[in-house]
Amino acid sequence: MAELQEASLKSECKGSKQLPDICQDSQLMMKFREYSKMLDEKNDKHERIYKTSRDVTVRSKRVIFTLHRIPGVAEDVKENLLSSAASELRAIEQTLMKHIAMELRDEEPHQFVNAYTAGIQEYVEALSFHYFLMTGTIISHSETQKRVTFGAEAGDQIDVVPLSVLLQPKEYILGIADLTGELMRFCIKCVSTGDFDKCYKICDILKTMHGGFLSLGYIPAKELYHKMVVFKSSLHKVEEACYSLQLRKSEVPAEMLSDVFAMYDADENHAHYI
Amino acid sequence: MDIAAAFSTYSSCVEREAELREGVQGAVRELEKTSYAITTTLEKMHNTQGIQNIETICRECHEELSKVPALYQALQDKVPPGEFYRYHHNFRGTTHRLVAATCLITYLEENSLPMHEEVAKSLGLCTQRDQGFHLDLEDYLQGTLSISHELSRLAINSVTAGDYSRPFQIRQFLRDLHAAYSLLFPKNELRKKFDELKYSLKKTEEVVYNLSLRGLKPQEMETSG
Repeated sequence: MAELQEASLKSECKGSKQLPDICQDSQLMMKFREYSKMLDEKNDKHERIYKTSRDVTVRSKRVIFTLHRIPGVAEDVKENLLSSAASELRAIEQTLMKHIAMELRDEEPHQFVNAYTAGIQEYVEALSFHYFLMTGTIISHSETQKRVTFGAEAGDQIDVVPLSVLLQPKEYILGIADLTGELMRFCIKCVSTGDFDKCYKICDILKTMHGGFLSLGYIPAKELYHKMVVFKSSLHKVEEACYSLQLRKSEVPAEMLSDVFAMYDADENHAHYI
Repeated sequence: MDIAAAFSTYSSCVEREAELREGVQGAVRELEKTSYAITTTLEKMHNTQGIQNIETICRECHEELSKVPALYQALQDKVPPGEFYRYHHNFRGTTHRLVAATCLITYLEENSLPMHEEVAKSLGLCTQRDQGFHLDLEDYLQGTLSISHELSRLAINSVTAGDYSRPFQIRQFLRDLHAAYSLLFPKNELRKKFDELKYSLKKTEEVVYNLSLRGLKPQEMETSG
């Protein structure tokens, strides 16, 4: 970047040497100096938001991985994992999201939505995953928006205008579409660790969600379409797993089932890689 | 929270947005028609007769341009307040075309580049986001850069039409423009357009070179060119 600037500076010097008729202080030049500043400010802001959004993505992914460790652990470890995920989510909101919100203050969020859409989708995914494990259902859009709205809290009385990161319904639904993939993974892991109730429950939830996505009808968004294709294959996988579970239940005593499924899962993975 | 409810909320949001977008697109279509009409009129200046009748062409364009503020007003009524950038890409291209036309007309009439404020005013827009429907700075810069291509064409065509002094004026103008744009640090689309300016300048300089080489430089330009 410095190099480029230098190059443009150089060409400018060369220009003025060759062309003494370009007045450096003409109205045109003065105005363009102003424009240059405004343009840089906007681009810098975009860049800053983008960087923060990448941090949001990374940390949200970490939360998701933490939550995936839950199947098969003791109850107290599970509590620990859930609470550490909750505090990490809080931390993301209070530092990174707040930072984005500060940048967006007095701006029109739509102008910078492309800079943070990836981060916020990942965040919605992590948040809704955690919410699901706590309550067994999915978080609503308005509740998610509330999580990234600041200033309404008692501590922030200085802010007259509430500070918030705009969460468009589109980002919310894309995040929820990603959640289905996490639920599938969680469900399969529950099968192999022997938590069969959870497995059936997730299968039901996924079916309901599938109905929900179908009820939307045709959505002219390419991203959502791709996510739907992925979702369909995860749903299929979960349905197959529940089906086999039910079949084997009749032939093997319950306490041995989980061992059988550990084998089944390995086979499945093996077949997948071939 | 019921899962079905979450989806129905989203679906009603999508419906609302589709409706709004349709309204915006309708308003943009009207604006587009006018912008194409102006571009077509401006195209006439490249004809041999056109180069001698530039004032008439500009007058015709002004007539069309005077309709633009009302059309932008109609568009503004369709765009919900605070959602300018949500629909920005719908009317961006049209705005570029209109900015380019305005700049070109001003150049032909006054031999200077109109500033951001002036262009915004003549299109019936303002320059600051908080003042209402505005002309985005980047749109202004993009539109302005598109005139370089037209001007380098005009330089060639005016030689064909026997006007040897115009290429010298155009070269001077493009040099000024290039110097001004060198102050910016352009990105993405703007960067591509900026490269276009360099090529246009180069082309115009070649025309000037050819004229000078053959002793076709007009007398009164001798000192300044």
